[in-house]
Amino acid sequence: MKVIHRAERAKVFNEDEKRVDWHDETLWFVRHKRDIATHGILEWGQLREAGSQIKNHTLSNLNQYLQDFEKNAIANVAVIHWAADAKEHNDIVLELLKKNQITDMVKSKSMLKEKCHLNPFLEKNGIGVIDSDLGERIVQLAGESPSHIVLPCIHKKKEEIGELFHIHLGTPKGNADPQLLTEAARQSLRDTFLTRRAALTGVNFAVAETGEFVVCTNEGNADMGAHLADIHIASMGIEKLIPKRKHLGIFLRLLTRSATGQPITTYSSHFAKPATGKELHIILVDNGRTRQLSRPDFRNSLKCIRCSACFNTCPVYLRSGGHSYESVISGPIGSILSPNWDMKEHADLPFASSLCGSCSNVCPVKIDIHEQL
Amino acid sequence: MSELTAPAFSKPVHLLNMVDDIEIIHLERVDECCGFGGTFCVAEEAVSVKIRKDRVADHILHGAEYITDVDMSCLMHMEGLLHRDKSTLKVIHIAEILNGGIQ
Repeated sequence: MKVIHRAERAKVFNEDEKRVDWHDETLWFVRHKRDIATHGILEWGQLREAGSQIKNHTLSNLNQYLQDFEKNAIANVAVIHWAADAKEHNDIVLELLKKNQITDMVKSKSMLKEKCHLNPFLEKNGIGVIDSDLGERIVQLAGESPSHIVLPCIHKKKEEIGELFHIHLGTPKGNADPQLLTEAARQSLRDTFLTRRAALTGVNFAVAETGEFVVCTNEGNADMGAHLADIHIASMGIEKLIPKRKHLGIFLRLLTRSATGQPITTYSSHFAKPATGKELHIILVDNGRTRQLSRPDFRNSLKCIRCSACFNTCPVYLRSGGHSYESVISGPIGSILSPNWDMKEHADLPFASSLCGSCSNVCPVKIDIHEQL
Repeated sequence: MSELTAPAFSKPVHLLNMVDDIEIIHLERVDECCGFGGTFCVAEEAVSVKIRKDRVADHILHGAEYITDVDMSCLMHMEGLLHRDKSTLKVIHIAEILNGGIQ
């Protein structure tokens, strides 16, 4: 079997230079917005340092904070599940759905679930999954994987989305008006939200002190799904913890400025207790994280808050597109995290860097990305 | 480093500003990589070439006559393209400029 390396896939991407330029300029615009947002507050350097130190401290005391989180979440009447790997995670989700005789569910964005290949697993088991994040919905309809962790369909032009929506959602052929397309997606998702009894979400931050967790979205899709469903299943990597609620402000200020140049996400929703008659499940997932934690050279990568600032500044990512990495998390941080999951499969990813160091300098939690690469 | 919020200070620019008759050109992307990266340019040729092309184009767009740097490998990488394109844009190491006045 011929192994197709990342460099070859990047070469194919570069055969259409206009598209490369478009991809590069679109994401550089996001980097530029990030610059304006971060230069706009005096304490950016202090926030980065604080974020980095809190993550360092949490990783060093993860065992204690995980137990605190579990205890406090159980006190909130949430149900805690532990999953050592992707299989255990997927089995837990399936079992919960089966127990409640649920055959369809709605899911907001979660890179962890992508990594666990949850969608194909559930579909194979007869469960219908609809992604509610607009970008993820688009790649789902296209039968593709996300090419970017924050902007999953950034590789697609609006005309291509128009064509996709024409086929799947019945929008007029040849119409690529973003407003019309968004409205069509909205109407179609509205029905999904109203009829699904189970909602799956990711977790951006989990607070050990209170047992609550926070989900950040711009579309409100995680909230809409979780509030309307009978069962909310939230999956989180064990490194998503922060010790106290007061630390959250630091990360919320860092996250979206780094991601899109916004001061804060439109929705930063706290989930702690299930509503009366409903269930709240939290799955704490290891899936290679403790292995990464045990590697002194790479443990820093677990500080990542998935903002994607390193993607948007990386001269290599900008000119090769996310799919060339063939990994759920691409870009500079993906080139560190992915080999941890499968060293052989992702052996060529660390070479996708000119080691210019821009990734380390944009990183809101000071991960030494280029040094690890 | 344009990513950081610390006050910008470039030692090379500071030195160049002491030399007569030099005008520093400002680029669209202040400090984006030239795409060389040592073995990177071998392992990832297509992307390396594209980054270089864009970097050189940024200089041409803003009317630069010389590209200078403290890093020889960046200069060699960009010079390769300039030679091939028979460009009038030249590369010059910063030491050549700073020593230029010494007889």
